[in-house]
Parts: sequence; C-alpha cells; structure tokens
Amino acid sequence: MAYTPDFTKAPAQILIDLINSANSASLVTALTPELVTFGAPVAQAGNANGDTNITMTAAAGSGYSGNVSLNYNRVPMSSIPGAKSTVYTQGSATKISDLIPEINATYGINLTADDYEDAALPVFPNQPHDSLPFTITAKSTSLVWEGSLTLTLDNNDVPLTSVITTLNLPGLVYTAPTA
Amino acid sequence: MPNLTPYSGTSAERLVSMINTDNQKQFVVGVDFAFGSPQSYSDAEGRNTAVTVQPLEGDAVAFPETVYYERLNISILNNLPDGIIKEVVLPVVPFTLSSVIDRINTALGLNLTTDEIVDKTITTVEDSYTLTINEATSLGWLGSITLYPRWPGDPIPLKEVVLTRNLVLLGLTFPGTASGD
Repeated sequence: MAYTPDFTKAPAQILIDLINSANSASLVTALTPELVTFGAPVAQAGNANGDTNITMTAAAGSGYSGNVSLNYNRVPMSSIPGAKSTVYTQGSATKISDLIPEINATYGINLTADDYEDAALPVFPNQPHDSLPFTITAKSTSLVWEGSLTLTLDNNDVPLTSVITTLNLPGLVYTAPTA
Repeated sequence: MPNLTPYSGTSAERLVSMINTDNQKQFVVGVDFAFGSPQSYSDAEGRNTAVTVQPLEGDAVAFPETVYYERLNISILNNLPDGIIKEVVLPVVPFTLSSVIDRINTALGLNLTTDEIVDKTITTVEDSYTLTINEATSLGWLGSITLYPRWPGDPIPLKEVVLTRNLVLLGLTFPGTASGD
C-alpha cells in the first residue's frame, strides 16, 4: 500500500492522513481534524507495534463516538536534513523559532510551536567566520516528531565599523636609517 | 485491514465445505443431499454435534449417513479483535429479531438464517439484547451473544471504522532531502 506522507501539512493532518490511508476500506469518508481529537502521544520504546501510542477520540457532533488506541512511529528529527545543508546564518535571529520558517522551507516540513522546544540561539563572541552548533529538540507532545536535530549556526559578518573604531590613525612615520 | 468476517457463509455452506474438504468432494447442499436436525453429541475429540445426511440423488453421495463435528458457541465472536463485531443498526421499536436478521448479520459478520435464532419481539430501548441460537435447528452455532444496538441518529463508534490501528507498516517515514532539491 503506497503511502507518502506530506510533511508540509499540519501535524494532526499528517497523522490523520496516515490513519485514513490505513483504514480506507472501512472509512466511508475520510476523517478530518474537525471530526477527531488526539490525546498526548505516549512513547513506548521497544514496542513492535510502534514507538508511540496515542488515543484518538471522536469530537462531539462528528457523527462518530468513542475512541481508539493507535500505535505508530514518530519521525526522528535527525532524519530531516538528508543531504541538504545543515548550516544557517544567524541574521537577526535570536531564538530557534526565528529560524523555523527558513528551516521548514529548506526541508519541506512544517515544524510548529507544538513540535519543538524553543530556545535561544548560541551567542557568538565578536569574531568573524565563527560557527556554533544548536539543537532543536522535539516536544514529547509532538504528534509527528521525536528526538532532536543538530544544525550549525554561522554568525553574521562582523561589521568593520564594530571592530575598527579608531578611524583617525596616528599616521605612518618613516624613520630613515642612520648611517 | 478490511472488515474481518471469518465465519461468513450460512451454517449449511460452512458444514458442506468442511465435509467436502474432509472427503475431497464437491457436494452441493440441496442438490446432492439435505441435512437433518443437529443433535447433541460428544466425543473425546471435542465434537459436540451429530447430523444426519439425506442423499437427494441416488448414490451420488457416498459417505457416512451421519457426520460428527463441533458447533461453535456464537459467543466466540467476542474473541475477535475489537471493532470487528459492530453495533446492530436497529429500527424504532417494536420489531422482531427475525425482521432485522440482515442487520444482525452485518454487525456480526455472519449469515444466520431466521430459523437459526430464537425469535422475540423487542418493544423497549435497551443498552443491549441477547441473541439466542436455536440449537435444535442451527447447523453451525450454539449458545447466545449480546447485541449492542445503534439507534437511528446515533454516532458510529470509531472502533468500527478505524480497524487498522498499528500503523507502523504504513508508517511516517521522512524521505530525506537530496542536496539541491
């Protein structure tokens, strides 16, 4: 059964698409985020049925009732970059969330605030060509992601004016050699 | 996982299938023979039923006149995975169980006939009803099972439509991203 997740969708929709695909024979119409809600995912390492268990509950008025317990594997964040660059330039970003739009665009994903722990980006000393690692950690409540992803942050070019502050130089004095 | 109906087929069809398998034949019930009424029986191998076989076309049927086999208690359906046995979509009361046999069969994944069940008239709305097998006539079943009704307008239990709940094989797998994509 061919199934290709669309990771640009909202997290709940990604999971619902998976459920719909697996149950297309028994679902008369596809489930939508308006019809069901999810409880918090529960990690279950070593479980052959999947590393994550979650309860899906029918929303009031959805035409469905009750809930079902589902098992699946969340996606390790470390698998995101593939062969793509893991280096980002700091620009005006001070927090991970400031870089998320660029990261999402680069990898064709849709990390949301529900998916990762926001944190401050590394602070560079005032020197050029510096790079520091930073790690995006999946929230335990993320429906889709788990683990962490370490990327590299390049600091911005250092403005010369910030390091060359003495602009009126004392001058070059040539001292002629003595005989 | 599609709807699982391991006991589909009428009781007579399932019994003939068993006879044909054991005898490597292609008999057709109603053409080659008819069954008598099932009788209680027991032996050390767990067979609990004896039924006579009455040939309809001369010597076309050449095997013992009585076959011995095990009828299952219909409550065995409760051992199927959660959600396989469904609520019975019922009409407004009153109605008889025999009048909703198709709905019962849909819910249980069976092909019961009206003469296999003890008929009764349902006049009140209850959380559940008991379906009792007419053991004097049913070739395939014994015992009874609880039916859970779904009334007009009631929501559909998620467990009846989300049958595949271990999603690992289908899986969320990030495809990775090639350089330059």
